[in-house]
Amino acid sequence: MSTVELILAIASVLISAFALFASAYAVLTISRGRDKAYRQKYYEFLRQKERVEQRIVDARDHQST
Amino acid sequence: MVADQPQIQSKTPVLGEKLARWVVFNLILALFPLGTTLFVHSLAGKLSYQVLLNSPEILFLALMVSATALRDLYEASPFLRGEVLYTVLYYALFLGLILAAVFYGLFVLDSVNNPSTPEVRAALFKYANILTVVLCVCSFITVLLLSRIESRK
Repeated sequence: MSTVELILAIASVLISAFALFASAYAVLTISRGRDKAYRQKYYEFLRQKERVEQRIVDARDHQST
Repeated sequence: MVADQPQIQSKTPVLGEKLARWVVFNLILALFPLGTTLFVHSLAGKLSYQVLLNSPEILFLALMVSATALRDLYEASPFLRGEVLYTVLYYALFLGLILAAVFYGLFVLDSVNNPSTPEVRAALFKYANILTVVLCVCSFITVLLLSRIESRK
């Protein structure tokens, strides 16, 4: 095995192992139902976004009147 | 619980729709360059394993799935940033994307410098395939997780 092949093999194995670890971690998160906590965070983010958009609309209405 | 959900979420696609989009726009469309190469060679009657070995187009699939999953993660950063899962997925996809780009560069360098090195070319092809499969899995899991979080239920 040449040096180039060795470097390729090490880089591929390390990054593939890291990506597989990340995938397994995500699968565990889903299977344990932890994604529901993230969903609550997502809803909170959407509520904040709605509030900001409503404030902008209210400010525009106030300016026009 | 349904009453707590904000109005805006009715615009978000359901789980199946997001996954179908991932399959069509990432997997199938990203395989077009490789499919075209193989089709052209088969039309010319020169389709062989050597053609596959000399085709770095499989790396386009790796780049495409990583880039789109990174974009999806970036869009989820306002509510996921700081989570360990977000960081791990982000860096796995980012490092995979960089390695795929390096592999593509090595394919081109090998073609320019010494196109007749079958060992290096075979090793490049093997590791590029492994990386592509792993990045496809990682990207799919990322999209599945984000779809479950953002889908209406």
